[in-house]
Amino acid sequence: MRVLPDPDALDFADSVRDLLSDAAGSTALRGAWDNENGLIPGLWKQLAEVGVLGLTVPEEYGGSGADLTSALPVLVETGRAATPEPVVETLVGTAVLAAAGGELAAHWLPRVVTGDAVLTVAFGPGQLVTAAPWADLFVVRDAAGVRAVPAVDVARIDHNSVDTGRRLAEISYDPTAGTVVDGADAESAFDLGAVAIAAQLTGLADAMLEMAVEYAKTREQFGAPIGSFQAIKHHLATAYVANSFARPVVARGAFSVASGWSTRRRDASHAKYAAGQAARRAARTALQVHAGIGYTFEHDLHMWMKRTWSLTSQWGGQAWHRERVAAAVLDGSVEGQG
Amino acid sequence: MNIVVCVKQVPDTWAEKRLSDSDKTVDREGVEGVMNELDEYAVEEALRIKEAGGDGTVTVLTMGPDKAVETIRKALSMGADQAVHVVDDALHGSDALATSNALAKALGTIEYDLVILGVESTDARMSVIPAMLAERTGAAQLTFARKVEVSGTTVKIERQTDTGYDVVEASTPAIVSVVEKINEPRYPSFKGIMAAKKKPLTTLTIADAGVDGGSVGLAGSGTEVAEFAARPPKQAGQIVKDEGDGGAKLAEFLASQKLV
Repeated sequence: MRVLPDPDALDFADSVRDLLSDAAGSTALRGAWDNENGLIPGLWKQLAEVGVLGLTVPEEYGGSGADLTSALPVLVETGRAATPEPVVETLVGTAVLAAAGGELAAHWLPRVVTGDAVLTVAFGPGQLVTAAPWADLFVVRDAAGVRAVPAVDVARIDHNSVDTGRRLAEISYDPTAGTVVDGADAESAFDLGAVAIAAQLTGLADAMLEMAVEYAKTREQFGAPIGSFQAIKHHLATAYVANSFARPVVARGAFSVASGWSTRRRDASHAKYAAGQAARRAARTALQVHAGIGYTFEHDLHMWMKRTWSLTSQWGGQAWHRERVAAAVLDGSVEGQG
Repeated sequence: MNIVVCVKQVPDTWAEKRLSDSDKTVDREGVEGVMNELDEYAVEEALRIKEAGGDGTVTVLTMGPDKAVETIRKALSMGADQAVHVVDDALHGSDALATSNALAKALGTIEYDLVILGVESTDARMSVIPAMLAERTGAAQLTFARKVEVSGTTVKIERQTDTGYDVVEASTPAIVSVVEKINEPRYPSFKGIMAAKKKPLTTLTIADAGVDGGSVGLAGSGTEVAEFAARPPKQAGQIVKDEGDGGAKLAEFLASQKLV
């Protein structure tokens, strides 16, 4: 296994980037913010067709059997496009079901890969669930371990989120509902999700910086593009460097998680923390560069900033991941999540 | 039905295109190469015809430097079955006439019923290769297609015109060029990208293809770029300040340009 993705994974990310820029640009994203279910119509099926949904699912269930390292570039692209669809949740949920195997996997995975069934996950205590209104299966962590609960047995209360492109809900179900997933490793699933979100965050940071740089090149003040002033360009360069430094940390996190290394908890947390800090910095810098217009609903920037805020506080917040890294480094102990 | 799709690697559609100072050919070194956008429609149409018919092969044919193999790989990732790459230093600088000669010879090494091309390339924008290929191979010329229907050995197209379309029909073998209205090209899937690596790719030199070295390249071309200059920058517009007479001034301007 390699730390860096192979050329096929990069070619695939190019293909997904083209798809997302054609089918899921900012106008489509704005539509998802405004419509009933928070999705871009038709996009899920397209993601299934090109192989995003089944990328890491074993071939016996119709997937491509790629590892997390190869999935990273695609996750970055879904971050860059601020894709509202539950790509990370699919990655984590399918990994849990595939690891368990048996009837549950055979029943659900082939349909998830083709986009005909949708699953979502909840791994943190009291964590709000995304994509709840249209999920067919909930893979959730509870006292019994990991439980797969069909949508029909789940009650939900929708919550407001700062990021309307990622709808959240609180769910409840009868403690005996659904099936306990045999031998599911909730901790590893959580780490997987943390790294996947980290990859999306680096993509979000890229997109926000690109927007800010573009704006700085066209917006003029004092007779010159504002990007020519050090007060602007140095900020942008610092944010760019921070994101560039986060990328290898995310690659390392993915490698550790995919290889089942003993440092995987620490590395996953480091990835989420570093990418989160870089993305928050990119958001703050982009907002400052855009100044007044960046605060408006009419400008696209807010959709990317709000996704950044929402993702940095989910799958473990910044402080939680930082503490987990500190614990691992200082006394070698790594607390599990929850 | 066996179909050949001719594809071309061109400088990135949105990149600034330059001619090299030394031999006045398109500078392909400094910019990223991509598959000519219109050729994606050609590949898609070939795949759809094959899928509808259920048999035959789709062969990608390209002529270009080593780097053009990236474009071949993209076409194979989309679903084409095999590829032929004509690569030879002697081809550098070929104009449309010389290119059509080399492509026609390369076509001679492949079994085909239909050849599909994009209507033009985004770098040269000549739009004549399909017609030249038809002339050189003796196949029917069905160009500017916005719709293609294949039934047995009959190919019927809707040929895009300025005011509508003509229906043109011919028997195979035929050369078809397609406009972008024709379909929505698919995106290479992960499985397609993985499979592309295992598909057969034949590399031909001009000698392999039976092309006479004197008939291609800068020397073998019928046209020559004598000189070139960058497009002059846009002139600043004229600003009319409305001081109650804006309408009159606009009318004056339009009249001075003979627009009214």
